Amino acid sequence: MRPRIVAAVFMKDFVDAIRDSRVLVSVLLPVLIGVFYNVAFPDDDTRRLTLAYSAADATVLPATLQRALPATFELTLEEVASANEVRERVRRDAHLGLVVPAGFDQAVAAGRAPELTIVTREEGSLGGTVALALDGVLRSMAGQRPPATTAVERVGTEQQPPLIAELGPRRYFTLAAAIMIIGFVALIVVPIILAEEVERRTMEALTLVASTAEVVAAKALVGIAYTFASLGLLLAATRLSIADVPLFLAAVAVLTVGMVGFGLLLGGAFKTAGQAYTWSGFFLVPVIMPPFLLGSGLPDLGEVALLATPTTQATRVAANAITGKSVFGDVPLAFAVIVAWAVLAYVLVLWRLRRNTE
Amino acid sequence: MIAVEDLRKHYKDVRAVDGITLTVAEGEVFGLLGHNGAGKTTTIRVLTGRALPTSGRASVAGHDVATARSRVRPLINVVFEEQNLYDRLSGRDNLRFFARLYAAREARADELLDRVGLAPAAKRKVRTYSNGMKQRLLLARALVNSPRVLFLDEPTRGLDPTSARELRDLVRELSRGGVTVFLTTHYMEEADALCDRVAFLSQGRIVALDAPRELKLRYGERAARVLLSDRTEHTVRLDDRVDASRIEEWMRDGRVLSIHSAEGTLEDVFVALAGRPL
Repeated sequence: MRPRIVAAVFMKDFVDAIRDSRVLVSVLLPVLIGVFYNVAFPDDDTRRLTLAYSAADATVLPATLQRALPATFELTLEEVASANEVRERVRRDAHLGLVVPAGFDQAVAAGRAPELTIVTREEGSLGGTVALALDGVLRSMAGQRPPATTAVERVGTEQQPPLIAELGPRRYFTLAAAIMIIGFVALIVVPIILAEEVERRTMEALTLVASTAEVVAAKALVGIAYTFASLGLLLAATRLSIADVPLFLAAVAVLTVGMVGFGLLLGGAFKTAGQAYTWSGFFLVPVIMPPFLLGSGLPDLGEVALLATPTTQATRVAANAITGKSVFGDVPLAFAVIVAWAVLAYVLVLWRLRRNTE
Repeated sequence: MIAVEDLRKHYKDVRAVDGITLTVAEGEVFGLLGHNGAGKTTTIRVLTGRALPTSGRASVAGHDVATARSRVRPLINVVFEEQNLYDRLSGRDNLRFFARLYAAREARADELLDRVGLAPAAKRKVRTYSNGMKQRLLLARALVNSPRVLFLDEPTRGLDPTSARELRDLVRELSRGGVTVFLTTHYMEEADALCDRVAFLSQGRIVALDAPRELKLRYGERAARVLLSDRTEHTVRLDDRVDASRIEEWMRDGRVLSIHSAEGTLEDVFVALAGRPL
């Protein structure tokens, strides 16, 4: 294998292939789908509320409440002139109202239990939820410690949670688009650029100076380069935050290399680029679908079959990397499955190359 | 420069090449003629190391094409029957790409474009080229590595007469420069005009091999076409004394307007040997 030859073929293909409209569409379509999902499913958890209050004199209560709420609550404070106006604002659009009597802060600090009127809409509303936080705020204003320290602990359920529940819709669909990119490039673009070389007989001119293995290696590198360029574009456009970048890159890289191997096999099976473009789509479905059926209540056998696919395992690892949590266990096993598929793909590619040479 | 000895290439039951023996000298233009399926392209495939022979031996510049392919490849190049160019790239980019593959200077691309008369179209995408331009670009590509042996597979097929003539002139020029040219063609006139020697291939076997003139003399009939003053034309067989003496008689009577050679053509020879025309 001569790096100079591989680099020359790679450079030619990297520049030339994208001029083929079929390749361009296959590279950009999943990126655009990902961007669309990103816009259509904002998983912004922040809840925006308005607190209308009236206070006869200065009080720190609204501001303290604002600070005491979790980061997922964004409380906008609106001071109005009277108690009636507070009621009116809550009736109209404010989520919560407070009527703070004169000398309230001093009375709380002195333990005199002043009367605070809370105006909410019906029970169970968002404002009602915020009102529950008032108790802690008032205790702290009175200089009291919380009566108890609470800790939240999560336990796993027997069944795998659906991926979407773990990631949230925006991150889920962005990850779906990333897997789609790998599938489209590996199973459509790579077969097209390989089959086109055979169809136009340019392969014969190439193999006068290059070995078939060198040409195939260059095509594989083009597939990998297109995949990473598209993924970069997707991540930049969606601003997807990834907690564990090395783990994410490792999962994506190993999956890409393996899938490109299968793309090379497909490319060798088609006589024309048109055939590759038409029929590769059938191979795409079983590749990009399985990961998203995880935890969807399939029978055990179906679940085992899903877990045997490289895309499912890569998605599990990528989900862990994105969330920074161990949503799915057995990361080493997941890598073992992906690598096993990649090895299988390249053993078959080498077998075909050897058969062609003979 | 090329030596082939009892070369055979069989695909299962098909004997594409069935025991051919030939040699081609340095700087010679050698033509391989035959019907479709006669084994011309297979012979080129074996000689260029793209197919292994079933048996027999073939060497280029002393290197065995089957066992020393890596030594043969830098010395040869091929103009393929199909116009296998990258048509989304420009003519220049096509040549630059192959220059990189052969580790030649990139400036070689422009030199060759100039040589084949494509310099003004260097930046145009190949898909906008005419057939003749593509064929000239193919020839330029085949010269990127300055080959000592150039294989041309049907180089003028589908070309208009002017483009075909331009290409033949380029081939002659290469031959004068010492490049050995091995070509296949359907066009007998082309082979006659271009080749120092030709071989007729039929069903994978060589049925005749010699200089075109020798073949015509050996297998054709020596004759002359005589046009008389009464506008009648007569074909006279020169090997027949009685028939030939008629020319003398017409000359004496002052009736001869013109005499043309009517020797057999290469095609006549081919039909006589292979049984049907190309």
